[in-house]
Amino acid sequence: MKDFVDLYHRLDATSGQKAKVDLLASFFEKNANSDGLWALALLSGQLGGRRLNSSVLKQLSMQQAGLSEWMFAECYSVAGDLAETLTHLFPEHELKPLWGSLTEWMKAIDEQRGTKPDQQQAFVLEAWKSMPHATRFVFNKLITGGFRVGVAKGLLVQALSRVAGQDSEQIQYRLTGQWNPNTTSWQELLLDNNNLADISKPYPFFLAHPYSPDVPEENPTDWQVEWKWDGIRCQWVCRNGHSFLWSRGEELITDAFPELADGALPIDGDWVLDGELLPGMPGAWKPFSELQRRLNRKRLSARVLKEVPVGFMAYDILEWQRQDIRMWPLRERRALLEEKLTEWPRIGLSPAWIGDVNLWVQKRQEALQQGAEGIMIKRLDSTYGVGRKRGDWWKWKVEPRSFDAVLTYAQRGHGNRANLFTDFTFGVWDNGELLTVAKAYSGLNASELAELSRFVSKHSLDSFGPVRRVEPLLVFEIGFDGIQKSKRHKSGIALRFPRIFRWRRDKRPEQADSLNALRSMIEDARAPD
Amino acid sequence: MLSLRPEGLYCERGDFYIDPWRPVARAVITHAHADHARRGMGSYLAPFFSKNVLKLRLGKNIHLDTLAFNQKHYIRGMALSFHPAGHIPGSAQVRLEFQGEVWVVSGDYKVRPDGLSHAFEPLACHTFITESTFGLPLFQFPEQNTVFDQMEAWYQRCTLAGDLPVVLAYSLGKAQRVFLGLHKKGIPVVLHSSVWETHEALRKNGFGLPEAKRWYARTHSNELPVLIAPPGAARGGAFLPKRPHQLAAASGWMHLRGMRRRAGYEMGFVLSDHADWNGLLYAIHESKAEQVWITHGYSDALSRHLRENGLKAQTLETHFGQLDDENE
Repeated sequence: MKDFVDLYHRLDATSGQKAKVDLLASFFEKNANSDGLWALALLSGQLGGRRLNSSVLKQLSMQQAGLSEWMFAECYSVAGDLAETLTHLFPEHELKPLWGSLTEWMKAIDEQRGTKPDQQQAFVLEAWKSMPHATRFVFNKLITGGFRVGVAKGLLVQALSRVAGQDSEQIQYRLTGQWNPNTTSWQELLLDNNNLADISKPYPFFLAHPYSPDVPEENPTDWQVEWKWDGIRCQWVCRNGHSFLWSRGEELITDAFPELADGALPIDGDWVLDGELLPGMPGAWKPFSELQRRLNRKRLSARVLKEVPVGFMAYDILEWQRQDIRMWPLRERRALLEEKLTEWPRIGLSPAWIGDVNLWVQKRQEALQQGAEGIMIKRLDSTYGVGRKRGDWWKWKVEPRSFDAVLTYAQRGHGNRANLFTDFTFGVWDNGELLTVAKAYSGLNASELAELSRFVSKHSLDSFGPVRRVEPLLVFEIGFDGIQKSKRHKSGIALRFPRIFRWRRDKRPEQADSLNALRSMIEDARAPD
Repeated sequence: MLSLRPEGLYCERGDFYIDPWRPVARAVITHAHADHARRGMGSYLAPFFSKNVLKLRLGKNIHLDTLAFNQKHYIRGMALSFHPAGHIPGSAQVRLEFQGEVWVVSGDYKVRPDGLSHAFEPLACHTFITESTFGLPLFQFPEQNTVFDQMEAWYQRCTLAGDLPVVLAYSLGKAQRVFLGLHKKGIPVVLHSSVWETHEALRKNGFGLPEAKRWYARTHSNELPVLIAPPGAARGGAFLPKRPHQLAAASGWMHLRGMRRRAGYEMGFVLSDHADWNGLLYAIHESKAEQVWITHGYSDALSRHLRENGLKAQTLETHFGQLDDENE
């Protein structure tokens, strides 16, 4: 535990990336065992969630410090962090050393979950009494589940790569999936060759670079073009007859899409597909916003399942009969995919064409009609890499579109932008009224933001908490990536990724666009119902 | 005996203000920090040991009288005396006594000795006017020796990495405390010019501070010293060394992680010149006061806590603690 406590505080006091990697590497070097594995699980966010009941902890803290509820609340609001509040409020005391390893502590904490409050309190009190301030803080972070220290995954990968003597792509692959320090070991996760004890394990996603005109044209038969779907990028892992769906954030989302996981499988045997989850059915995809209704729900009702069916568009195969085929060139993976995949009502093969820049331009123009947000251009020789690399895969979105709208509301920013207005609401004309169509947060530079903040302060009509209603005097060009009909919005339209393109100082508010103009853009985009 | 006026805390019998925030004819000053000792007063009465720094900060030509600690000064039958507050070198509490009734204005104080300032003297009184900068149980500070040990370990890590360690500390009080702590450990220290000037003023005022080196940006030495600079130096950026360095702050606020992170310091040392929660309760208890007025800090929480424990306590709205740079 001591090494981990030191690591935590040292990381917290280090701002340099290289210095952080050094700290991590020397820690893992020394703790290449279950302690290292627990530390890795904690630092990478593999273990989340609150561990012990926070009101139990609060009661214990109040009782030990002899404080009333309001005083605890006062302290909590000043410290802003439960673990820190608990740490500071525990009275200074004679230490009764009770050292254990990080592994022993984590197991002890796990055993406390779900036990009776007084048992939990006795456990925590004994722990607090055994710990100096710095250790108590880390322990409290562990039991409150708010374990966050500024370590990016990339730094962990670098450190592990150094300690394990493997390249970072290999480490990234090893860290995917749902491994757990209780069920695997340092050796198994990071060193063993057969790493498939976890049958759900996905591969790190390979990501495309935004298209730039310097993509070499070379031989026109070198490139494959696909639609860039506007859904959820997803790896579908199927091994031993079990399906697992992984989102690009490496979250397991199987439960949200039972019709895929429990439905007919596109391929027999064991395999891993890369593709896109889309609302609707092949040939009749619905707008992305429909998918939101399927996510972040505790329980899926039969109604939502019926109203928002989901399908899968496959575009790559990464594993076949337990063989990792990411090193095969794309043309061979594609051939295998085409040969093996059976299309079902919910499962389609994402179409692909081979051709040069003329084809790219043509397909990109057709993208919106297909319900896609652009095209993907992939080199036929390309392997399936790790992370975002320049050269083999490119994404080329449809030109973002824009309209002119009037600033109607402004809201203050947070943190170090609390003195500025940073969140803006815009309206377009409809029967002589401004109807809200977009909220945008980004797109202005610092001096424009400051100028706009001064304008808002001078021209406020009303205020509602942090929000000001502003005199409708300023016009901005608002860009967006997608436009759809929406029943939820008064304006009847929903924009995807609206942002401020520029401040149209040359336009007067009455020159801003009308709702009708926006409606006509929906027809362009054609979202089949 | 005392009342609050727009100019500050007023004593009618003596016709003077204690640490006024607007220009008045007669000011009694507890200590030289900017939120307590302001420019523009007709005359100043202050503890002897704050004489040089007051002149350094307010100008050589101010009309200043001083009193030794515990020396009684009579005004219309009222006895006024300064007693060590332990906050910074030369800081005092003001004790007023008239016809057997005693009032004490704490100014800023800390109850644990720092090895440089005259140690805090608990004073019995009827009414105690106390600060409450760290008036929440959240604030229970470590012993300063523990903190200097941490500072030494940090210094060694910086030297290993070849980075110049920079400690940001208020130029009056905190800086000398850090200086002494490091000096006693044999760690070389250099002082930013404003810190150095204060250091010299205190030396000439009779404080037993060793001679200190002034820092020049071009100074080259094989051995890395610790540079002590005022917090403002880091904000402006102009005084920061061009060479690789690590920034640490020494302040009671560094007790809170969020406070340190927001300020952008890599390291924070919990070194406070104000009493922590237990220190405040100790001073209030020792005063045996019947009523307690609580000024700048977490005054509402502290007064509520005292009331719940049977004391007559209330918040007093002052302008103390409002000039960030100097009050801690």
